[in-house]
Amino acid sequence: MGAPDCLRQSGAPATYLMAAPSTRVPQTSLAKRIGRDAPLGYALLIPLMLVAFGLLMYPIANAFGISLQDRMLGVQGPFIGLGNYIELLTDDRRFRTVVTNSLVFTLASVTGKIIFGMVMALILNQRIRFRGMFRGWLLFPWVAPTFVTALTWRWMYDGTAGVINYVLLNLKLIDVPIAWLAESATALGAVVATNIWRGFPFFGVALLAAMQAIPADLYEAADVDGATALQKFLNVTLPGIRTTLAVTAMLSTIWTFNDFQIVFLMTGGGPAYATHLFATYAYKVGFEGSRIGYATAISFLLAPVLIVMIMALSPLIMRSENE
Amino acid sequence: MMMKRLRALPNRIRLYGLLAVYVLVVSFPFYYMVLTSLRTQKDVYNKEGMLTPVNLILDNYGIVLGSTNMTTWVTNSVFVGVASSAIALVIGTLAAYSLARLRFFGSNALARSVLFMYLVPSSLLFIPLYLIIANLGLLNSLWALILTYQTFNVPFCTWMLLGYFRTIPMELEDAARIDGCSRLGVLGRIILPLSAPGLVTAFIFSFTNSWNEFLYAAVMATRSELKTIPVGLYSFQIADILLWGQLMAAAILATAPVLVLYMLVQRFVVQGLTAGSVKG
Repeated sequence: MGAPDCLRQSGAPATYLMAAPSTRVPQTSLAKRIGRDAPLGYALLIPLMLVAFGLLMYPIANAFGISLQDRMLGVQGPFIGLGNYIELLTDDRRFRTVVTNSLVFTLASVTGKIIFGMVMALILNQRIRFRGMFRGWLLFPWVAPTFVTALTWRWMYDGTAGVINYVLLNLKLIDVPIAWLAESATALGAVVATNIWRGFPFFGVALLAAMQAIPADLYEAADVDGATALQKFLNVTLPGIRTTLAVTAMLSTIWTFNDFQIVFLMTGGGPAYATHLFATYAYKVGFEGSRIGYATAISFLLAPVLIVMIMALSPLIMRSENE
Repeated sequence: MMMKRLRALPNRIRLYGLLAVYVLVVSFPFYYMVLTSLRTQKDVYNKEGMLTPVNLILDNYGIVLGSTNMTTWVTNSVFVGVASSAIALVIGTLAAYSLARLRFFGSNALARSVLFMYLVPSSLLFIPLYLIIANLGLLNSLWALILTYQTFNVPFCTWMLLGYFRTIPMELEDAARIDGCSRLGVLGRIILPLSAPGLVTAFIFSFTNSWNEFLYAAVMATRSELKTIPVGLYSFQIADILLWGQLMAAAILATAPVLVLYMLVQRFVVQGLTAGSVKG
């Protein structure tokens, strides 16, 4: 038989088996299945388990109970079953706006980040001077704390003294100043633009790393075959970065869909709910309106979306880790 | 017509032109932030010479450091960042060693569930955590933040170190075991010294993620003397008049440490990206 299953599976080198013969006790089938490292293995995981149970599973289970109550902040409330969920899904027009906003915000932001990130990666994948320096410099929006980015852009979008209006007026692109964040027509778009600015370097750097891992002889072979730049992009570059692109896009989708800070700090969800997302709406209902049971139900409605996205992402990440 | 002219240009010029646009778009907000921080409240609203560096003063920095709670917030942020990252690093090191090197029933499934833990977003967790922290009577204490930040720092450190530990050749560990080293001895004498860059990077990423965290801090530490920087800055702007000069000065002070830390670990940023990081 040789190596126990668990070792063979992990691809442990044969030297490992030869190195420690003294620890190879006769295996019963149970010990074989659990593995001889089990006691220490589980012991080292205890602190992690405490965090997982104490700060994730238990709070979520506890909060699920609260989402079934008509409960105000700080007091007990009556059990109303799925009442909060039913109200949200059938009766709450604001919640419908929130869902629409979240979808538009996520789709537009992630698409924009992918496009600007891809172009950034393609530029930096060329032979240019000071490439490392430019890569570091272009990472700035992603490195800067989000609250700083949000406040700075809020200032730049200012309706009366904002520099964006100043520049656009001087370039004669607009005739009158626009209150970007105070008008429902422009607010969501303005927040999305800031979010793209903040997030595209993440894609740029990740995609650049993937592009640099593509063997140069693939491009040489394409050149020999007389491929155009576009053909090389579609047939060599894109297949080479596919996994990275999928992983970064999924991660970014999860984070963008669950964003709080950028909207909260730039518009507070306004004007008139035009920019509210799940998290900002739950915050408003729970902490400004004190309806904590209802607010909990709002965050819990994120869960189905989230589970689908994580299920899609998990095998991709496992694959990229193995590559 | 413009497109045609653009196409006629040689490749290199187009390439550098595009790069220049990127550099400009990325740098401009930073430039304008610095400029605003160096102006009086009156000049901030002055449209003459909005983009040129004239009439600059340093007063805003003096005001922010001298007559606001900024120094308290910085202290709070540093304390929370260091404590939560240090705890997460210890928990993450133990877990990552177990998952990377020891073989036992369920280890692969457990490694995968670390990733799940990491992907549970704060927008789903903030109310459940708030309720637990309130039950424990820890609201309005910095321990509320140190505790709740483990929800993202622990899975992050574990996942990142798991990848790092796997790159260390098994042969080194085998050799030490032959010489009579125990499993924990191997961790202390072989794995940890060799992983020093990984440990430093994990710590710095955790620290910056804690430094930037807003939502948990906004609901759990609301008393002014307990605020961290992001929440503290937000309180600059609830007042009727937004003091943009001071706000931008404070924002720059809050960004500087993060920038310095990132420069230290720039080489590892790409690895950190695959391990994930709070923003995206």
